Order: sequence, then C-alpha cells, then structure tokens
Amino acid sequence: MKSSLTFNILILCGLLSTSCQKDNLDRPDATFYGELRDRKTGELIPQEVSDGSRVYYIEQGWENPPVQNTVIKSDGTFKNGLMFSGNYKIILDRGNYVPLDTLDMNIHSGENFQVFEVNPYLRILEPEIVKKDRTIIATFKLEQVTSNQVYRISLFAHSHIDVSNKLNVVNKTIELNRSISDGEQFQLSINLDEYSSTLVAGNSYYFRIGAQSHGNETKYNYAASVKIDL
Amino acid sequence: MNRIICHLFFVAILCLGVGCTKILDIEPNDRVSPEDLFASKEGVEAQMANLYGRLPIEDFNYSPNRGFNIGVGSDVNNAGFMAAHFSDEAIHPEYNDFGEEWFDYWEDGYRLIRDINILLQTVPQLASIDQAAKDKLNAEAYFLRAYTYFALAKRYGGVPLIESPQEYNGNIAELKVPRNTEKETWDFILADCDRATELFGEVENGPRRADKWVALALKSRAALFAASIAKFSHQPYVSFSGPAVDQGLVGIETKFADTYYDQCIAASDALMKSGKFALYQAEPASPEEAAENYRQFFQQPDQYLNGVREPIFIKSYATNTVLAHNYDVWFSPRQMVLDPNLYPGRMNPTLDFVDAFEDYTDDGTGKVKPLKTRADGNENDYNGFNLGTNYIAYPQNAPYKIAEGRDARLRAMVLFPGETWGSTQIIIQGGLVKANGSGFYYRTQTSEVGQDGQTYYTFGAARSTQYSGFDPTLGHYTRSGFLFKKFMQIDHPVEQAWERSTQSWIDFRYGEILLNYAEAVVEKSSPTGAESQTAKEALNNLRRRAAHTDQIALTQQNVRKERFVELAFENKRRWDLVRWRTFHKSFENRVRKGLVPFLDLRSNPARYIFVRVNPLGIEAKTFDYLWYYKDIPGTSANGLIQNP
Repeated sequence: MKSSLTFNILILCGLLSTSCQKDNLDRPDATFYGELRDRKTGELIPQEVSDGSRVYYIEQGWENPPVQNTVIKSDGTFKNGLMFSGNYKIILDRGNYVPLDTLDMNIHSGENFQVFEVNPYLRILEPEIVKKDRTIIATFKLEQVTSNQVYRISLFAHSHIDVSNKLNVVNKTIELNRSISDGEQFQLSINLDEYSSTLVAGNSYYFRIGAQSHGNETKYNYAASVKIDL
Repeated sequence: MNRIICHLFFVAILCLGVGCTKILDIEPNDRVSPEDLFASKEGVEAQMANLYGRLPIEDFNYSPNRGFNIGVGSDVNNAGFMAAHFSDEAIHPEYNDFGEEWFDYWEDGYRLIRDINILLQTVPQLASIDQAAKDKLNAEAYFLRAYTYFALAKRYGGVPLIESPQEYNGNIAELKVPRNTEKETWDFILADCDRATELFGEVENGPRRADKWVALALKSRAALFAASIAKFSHQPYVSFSGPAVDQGLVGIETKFADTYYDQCIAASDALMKSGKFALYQAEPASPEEAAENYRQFFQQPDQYLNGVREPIFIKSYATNTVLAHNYDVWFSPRQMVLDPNLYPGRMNPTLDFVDAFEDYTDDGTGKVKPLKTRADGNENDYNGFNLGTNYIAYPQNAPYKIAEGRDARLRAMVLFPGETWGSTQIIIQGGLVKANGSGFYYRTQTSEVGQDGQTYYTFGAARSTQYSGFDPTLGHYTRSGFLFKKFMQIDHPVEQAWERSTQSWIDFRYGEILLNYAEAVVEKSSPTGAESQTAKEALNNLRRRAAHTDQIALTQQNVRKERFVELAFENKRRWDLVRWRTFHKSFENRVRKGLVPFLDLRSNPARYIFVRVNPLGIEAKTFDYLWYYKDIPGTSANGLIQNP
C-alpha cells in the first residue's frame, strides 16, 4: 500500500514536471451586448426562440478565422459576456430584417453596448387576438417594407410565451405569395373544437401572429404573444 | 497487481520522456508496401476488396448517427437508427431522431480517395497483369472515385478535387488544396463515370463489382442530383448567402439544370435499352401476387440475379462477422425477440407514409387513399380517442383489414396489427374501450371483461412478451402502430443474435433507373415527345408491377409519390428531400403521425377501431435549410471556405 502511494506521488510529480508552462492566454475580457431595433418605430424586433436571428462576427488578425455568432433573444436583445477585445467584422443577415452591410467594429475591454437599427421585412400593425365562443380570431394589418412579396401569414398557439413558427402546437398558416396593399386587413382563426387534445379547455395558452416575407434567407416577423384562458 | 501497473506507468512515462529518436523514420515492417501488394494477382484482389468495402454505400450498416460500416472497428449498437428514421418514412420506438447526420464524412472519404489515386498511379507499372486487366482495374478505380466524391458532394457541395496522390515535400501549404466549385465537382464525378464506362467496355463484372452498367447507374443517380441542385437551389425553393455562395462552392446556376437532366436521361436510357435489366415479375396477376413478389425480392435478392435481372449493383455480407448486419434483430416484432440483450421493434413506419399509397380504383389519377378510420370521413383529427366519435369497425381477428385494397407494396413493406408473421400472430394494440361505454384506457396496461365474459387487455395480451405495440415501459414496442417487413428474413429466419443477417443490399436497381429517367424528363424544361412517352411508360411500368392497371399522367407530383412508395426504406428518401430542397418546408415543426388500434368492447363480439394520434413522446421535427450543406470540419487548419 505504502509503496503504491509512493509510486503514485512519483507519477504525479512526473506529470506535473512535464506539463506545459502556465496558461499564457488571457481570459475573455469584453462584453458585447445590445439591441435590434426597428429603424422606423424604434421598437425592439421580436425573434423566434429557436433558429431566430443572430449577430455574426469574425475576429480579425487570425488565419482562417471562423464565423462566430450570438443568438438574438426573443425580445430582440443580445449579450455575449465572453468576448475577446479586438477588431471584428460584424455581419447582420439571415434575420427577419433587411441585411445590413458588414460593419467593422472595435470591441474594447469591458462593456460594449450597441443598438443595431434595421428595417424588418414586415411590420404587423394593429394586431388583435380575441376568443369568441369556441374560436380564436386574430386580425391585423401588414406593412410590407421591401418589394418582396409576402410569403405567408400565421397564427401560432402554445403554452409557452415564446410561441412561434418553431414552437407551437397549433399552426394556422395561409400562403399569400403576393404583394399586399396598405391597410389590407387579414384574419386568421383557430377552431378550438378541432384541437381538443392540444388546446385543452380550462388551460391558458399564448397566441401569436407571425408573417414571413419572400426573399433570401428571411425569417418570420412577430407581434407580441397574447395569453388567453380557454 | 497494483504495483505492476504502477511500474508499467513509470516505464511508460520514461519512454515518453525520451521520445526524441527518429523512430518515425523507420520503415514499418508490419505493413506491405504498394510494390509488394500489387506484385501478385491476389494482392490486387485483396486491395480491391478493401476499397469496395470502404465505399460509402448507404446500406444496412449505414447509420446517420454513426457513419458507414458500423460494426467494423466500432460497436454495432447504434440504437437501431437508420436513415428512414430521419425522414417521413419511420419513427423510432424509444428515441427521437436528432436532426442531421452526426458524423463527418470527410477524412474517411479523402483517405479512400488517396488509396484509389494510388491504385490509379500504380496500375500502369504492374508487370503481373495484361492490358485488359489493367483497363478493368482503372475503370473500377474511376468508378470508386466517382462514388466517393458523390458522397462528399451531396454533403458539402464543391470540395477539393484531388486527382493524384499528394506527396509531402516539406511544404505543408502545397497540400492544402482549395475547394472546387460545386459545378466542377459534379462535372468531375460525371467525367469519372464516363471514364469508367469507356474503359469497362462490354466486360461484365456485376452485380457485386462494378462494370459499365454499374457506372451508368451511378451516373444516372449523380446527374439527377446535380440537376436538382441546379434547378432547386434558388428562390423560390431555397437560397443561401456567404462567401461559399459568392464563389460558387455551393449551388449551380439554373441554366445548367437541363444539361444534367440530359446526362441522367442518356445514362438511364442506355441501361433501359441494354436488354440486360428488367423489373422482377413485371406483370403480376393480382395485388396479392405483386405484394409477395416485392417482399421476396428484397428478402433474398441473391436469388434473383440470373439472366435479365433487376439488381444492378449489390453488396453482400458474411454471417457471424463484422461484415454481417442486424436488420433482423433490430426490426423484428417484440413478440419474436425475447432475448434481453436485443432491442427489437425499432422500425415504426409512420402513418404519413402508410397514407401515401394508392388503392386499386385505378381511374388514371394516381390519387392517394389514406386509411379510413371514421364514419364521418374526417381523417384530419389527431386529438385521440373520443367516446362520441363514430369509428369504422374492423374484425377482432383481422384488424389488418384496414389496409385492404391498398397498393400491394404497402402490405409488402409494412406489418399491420393482427397479421401473421412467420408463425406468430402480431398483436399491436394501444387502447381499450370499456364494455359499458363509460370510459377507455390508452397506453396503460389494464384488463376489462368484455360482453362475451372474456378478459381483454389494453395491449392485447397479459404479458409484455405477448404483444408488440405501444407499451411505454421498454423501447421495443411500436409507437406508430406499424412494424416492418421489407428486407426481413421471415421465410428463412436467422438466429436472433447480433451479426447474423446477410441478405444483400441492392444499391442500384432497375426500378430506380426508371424513376430517375421519369424524373429527369418531367423536370427538364422541354422534353421531346418520345422522352415524355418513355418516361410515362417507365412510371407506369413500376405501378403495373404493383398490379395497377391504369396509366397515370407524367407529373412532378406523380413521379415524386412513386419514388416515395417504390423506393421506401432504401435510404433514398432523405436525399430526395434534400435535392428537391423540400426538406425544410415539409419538416417545419412537424410531428410524424401514428395510428392506434383500440379494442372496442362496447359491441359483442368486440371489434377494432383505429384512432389517429400524435404518438406519445415524438417531438416535432424541424429541418433547418442550412443543413442542406454540412459544415466542413477543420476549416481553421485546412483553410477551406466554410459552407453557409
């Protein structure tokens, strides 16, 4: 027993003496956080809870640097508390807004706050979701920001507040595939009797209006979700 | 004992500490050099067997969570996940699938390509064989290389094309070859197919080794893939952005689609006119006969290789070795596999798949006929059993009659509740309706006395070894309500143990070639009248083999549906959805469906009713459009431009 302990200590010493020198890299020293806001209304742009928009960035000064990213949260804010200070290229595309040109940014040690102002592909105006008898009715208007046609409009339902295209138990979607005129009124409805096992009477669910534009790599734009007791 | 281990550790550390001798420069004497290997005919054969064995064939031993040839150098237990579980063909009784392939086919691919390139370099110098034999070896090498690059291209788009073995001369930068464009990559694959076809000449080697016909079959499949990329990698189907797109490393311009479709048509046409291939039992007398033919063909393909045949290229297995496969233990019903070390019942065809078949109305429309469960005709209700709903009743001793009159291939591939499989009646039941109509049980084992005085159970029998469906306690019971027949060796059962299955995998068959032809014609922009006519015949010949008697129109929808039902479980479906760029649209928060047989004791005798459900525990599946191109591994070291 004693001799095996001696050997173990010997091995430990051997390992310690042959390991590398003390870690020579600094820890991440910067925090990069901010908001994605509508250039026209100044409001935060709500996102899908999974596979939503992201801030992409490439740290300069390395050979073959990979593209990194930070998810924009469902409320339209983002925060990466473990960034290295340095020069970055910031890419804002593949979201639910018109992509921005690539930005050069210096992330300095400490806190870096940035608001990105963008044009969402679609603005959902005057959203209203009500329960009438055994039907959930959503009415809204759309503002088409680009010349791209509207791909589809949807009403989603789920028990979680972040109900969306990738998180729902009921999805009523109509494909429009056309441009829309200002002031055009849209209506989507869910007949609760058709979903008796997924939207159970007596429980509360969140309902949310979404709309997606045609175009390269677009994502849904959302109104706020609405809680309704069934 | 402890002491010895400690000593060994100590010695090992000492050895590691003095590793500065030029030990790596010593010529290894446990390996055969290329010169020695290729000096004999047997050596060449051994090397060819090695190369064929490493070919990325998506066969019985391909698993999206592990890779190719599972069991060779790795654990055979991959939880029974096959490509079908990743598409709309099937769900798994225990786990949810996990998006996309979990492994990178990159290093293995380039290792194989290097060995093929070494073969190509070595063949001209061989003194042991004559020119004809050299041509054949070269042709096989080109075929193998095309096959391997195909596996890379469909995953990564444009990849570095390496045509001769690289040598390290002290400059690492020389070895870093940038990516070719996706178009160059597909052109290279098709050119290798052409080189192989030409060099093979009329010598026949098939179906286990490549010849002219196998090379043409590969070309038919690859050209169709390239054409689909060109046609569908644009709006309104899907689009990508980033440096890889800007440089053409992913995506092909739409204008090239037709040239690829034409190459597919030409290669398929050569096979169709060769007189060497035909559908197995092309004109059955009845749907029953058609179903039996189709089932037996996949159960024992080796028996149908003489004369004019349907299999073009097959892969065989060796029992009791790592070169066997495990379909018969993974996918047999629970009732037939009781060994606790085996995990049966793992292929659960979805209701989505079962609903995709035609019946024999044969009115020329090719319309699919979903199973009938309710008197009111509402087949869109997935809320589960409801006491107030009027369900269609099926006999207690023959619930499988729900599939009566459906396309023969459905009964040949899918095991329905109550069917006799081998000598066992397969019991799949998930619910019980009380005799007095006061309630019901669903997926909870319990017993009730029926109006005939007999005792009945939720799962159809009292003990967990006596039924095959819906019991949530083990992952051995179907969750969709269906089990699996295709490929299964029921007429000549193998021992229920690991590594016993040896039925051959048909990698290319004539049926696929007919569908490739039909699809290329229906998708290209202006097919000739003769092409359209031949394509329509090809499509309908497959339906005729399944005992249909009408002629349906050549449309995109009909061709795609026919591919789905004819080639199901042959690991083609996932790639079809990928190349049509429809995967991300058909799998957007989608739950694949199931069908639960309930024994309804409200009547005497009791009867079966069927309830459409979202299977318990099956999560919604989403295919992200960015998965169409996988991430290239190691880009920070190899300097390759990453996919979107």
